[in-house]
Amino acid sequence: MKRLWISLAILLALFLGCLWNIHYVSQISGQLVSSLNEAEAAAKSGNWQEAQQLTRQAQQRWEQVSPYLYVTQCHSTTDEINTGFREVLELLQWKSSLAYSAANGILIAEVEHLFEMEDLTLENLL
Amino acid sequence: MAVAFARTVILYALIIIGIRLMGKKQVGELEPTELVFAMLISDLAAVPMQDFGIPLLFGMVPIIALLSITMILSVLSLKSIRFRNLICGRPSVVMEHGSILQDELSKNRFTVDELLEELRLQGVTDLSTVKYAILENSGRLSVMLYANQQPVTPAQMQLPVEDEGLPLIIISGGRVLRENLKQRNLDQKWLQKQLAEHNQTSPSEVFLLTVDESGSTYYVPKELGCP
Repeated sequence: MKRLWISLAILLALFLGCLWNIHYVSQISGQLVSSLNEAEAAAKSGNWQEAQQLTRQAQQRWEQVSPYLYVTQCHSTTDEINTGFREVLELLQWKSSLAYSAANGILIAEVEHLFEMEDLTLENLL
Repeated sequence: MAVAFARTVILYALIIIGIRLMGKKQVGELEPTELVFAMLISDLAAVPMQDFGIPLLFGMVPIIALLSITMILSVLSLKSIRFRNLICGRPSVVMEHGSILQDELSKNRFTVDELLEELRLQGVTDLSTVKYAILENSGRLSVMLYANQQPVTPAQMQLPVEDEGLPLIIISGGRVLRENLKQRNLDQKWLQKQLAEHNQTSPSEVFLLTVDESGSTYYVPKELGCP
């Protein structure tokens, strides 16, 4: 009987851990997407310094959580986001409006994809 | 992670259904088609379990297809002897009248050491006592000794032997199996009497109690500290 309960507890812990992971990844991706959108709005209004600052803040947040994400996500996805941040910051330095906008759009999509991959939907299940 | 978890549960259920459909056979006794099926489904299920970049259907569709093919082959084997021989092979006689058929051994890639090991496992040490040794499709060796080397049966000795029949479990792990009690035409009174005979007051103190057709019982008390 003890073994049954232990097994059930492990299974339940696993499931709850998975649900918590979805919530955490959703929170992180939401924060990052919001910062990156704000940065793009600032760049569009010509405030490149603010855009750079907001993107840097987002990158710092990303670096804080990336060790966890490397453990729980496909490495290829996290690597792509790392590269995306570097590219966007580089383009911000050169104040290249069109290229920045395109690169930032891709980065936002990749960050959103991070959560979409984790979400317990029928598409992901199948 | 949640996707991987859900996929694992779904695929596990699918494999269990597959194994149950294969019947009550042990892994060592599988037919070739069943063995292939068993080997493949574990791999097919493991890939989408580990990599959720791969759609679950990529694991489910091959498993369902394999299951269907195995079932078809199984039915065809049952209907046609030729087909059965083609798919499952034929048993090979590797020993005849005490001598080893070396050709058959090499055809089956069965070494003489393996043959001797199998014979020893069946309690045969003298090869000259073996009339036939047959290598079955499941990989097991069936050994038939000469009639004069076989153990004597009570029937040959014309001895009267009481047939005890199948023993039924009455108490298992402290729980009374009332269905079995009824099947033996026994009641609660009989059970209480049995418990009293073994100085017990409750079925929960009994680990195992069986009764055969002649009414003989086999009793094992529960050990202290065991749940």
